[in-house]
Amino acid sequence: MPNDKSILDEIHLDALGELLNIGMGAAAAALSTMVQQEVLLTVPVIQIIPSTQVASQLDDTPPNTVCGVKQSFSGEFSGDALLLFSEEKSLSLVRAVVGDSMPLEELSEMEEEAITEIGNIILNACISSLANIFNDYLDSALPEYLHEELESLFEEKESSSNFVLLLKMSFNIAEQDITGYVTFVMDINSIIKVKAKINKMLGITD
Amino acid sequence: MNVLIVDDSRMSRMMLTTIIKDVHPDWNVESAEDGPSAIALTTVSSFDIFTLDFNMPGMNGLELAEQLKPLFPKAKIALLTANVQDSIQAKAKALGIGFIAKPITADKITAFIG
Repeated sequence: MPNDKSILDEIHLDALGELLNIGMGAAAAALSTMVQQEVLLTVPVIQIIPSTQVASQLDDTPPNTVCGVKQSFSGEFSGDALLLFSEEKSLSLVRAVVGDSMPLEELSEMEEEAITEIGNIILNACISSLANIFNDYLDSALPEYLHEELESLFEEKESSSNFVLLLKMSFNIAEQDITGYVTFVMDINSIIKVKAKINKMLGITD
Repeated sequence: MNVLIVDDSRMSRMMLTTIIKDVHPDWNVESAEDGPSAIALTTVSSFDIFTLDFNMPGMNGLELAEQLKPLFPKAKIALLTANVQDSIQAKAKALGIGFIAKPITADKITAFIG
């Protein structure tokens, strides 16, 4: 049974952590520009886990209804990038980006669209950064707004593959106390392709 | 000056319109949510400046730019996108259009529109 030790060596996990660090650095810079304040980042968490455990790994703050954006990407490797945060912080995030001038009613009315665009910017910063490091092109699908329970979000994945690579990194906007995270989910075929790319980049012979 | 903003995000269209109108209150700023709507607008109005999102349903910003370039050879056109991959920037350069990375800020937009 594959696990993170048997599929990826320490050096690959380290490289993936650094890649996510760079991607999230770009994403945090974009978010920081939008909210005009510092965005704090945690250290990345990288795991290869059964797809059935993705929701429970991500859910550290029950109740687990989340808000966010999903963007699928495809190229030599493919997967889903997700920006997720608890649903009660959604409007605060839109407010932090749009500013105080917009009336609450109007703000609520455009909440979904605003979150989708915020997610588009953050996730594309990450995806673009990965593509640039690998000197590759990743096609990103249109951003998809999410407002659902984590369990149902990953139901589809569970049926399509057994193990997934889960990269997770949290961000915090202190002033509004908004915490969220960006996660990448890739299946085993993509993990193997990413591993080959890291090997090539680091001059490691397969 | 006539400006056409093409972006499937309403928030982006609103932010851009506000920034441009703040600097140039007398300019005419129109917007479209996708490529076909933008092309339709160009058949009834002429534009001097275009900002084009890249990831849009139906037609992407580079495909739209390819159609707009021969129609408006003197217009300023820029791709305005969160997709900041080197390959996208290279394609924009090859097409002879500008590239502005999202997020949208007043500084970036005024630097482009003048």
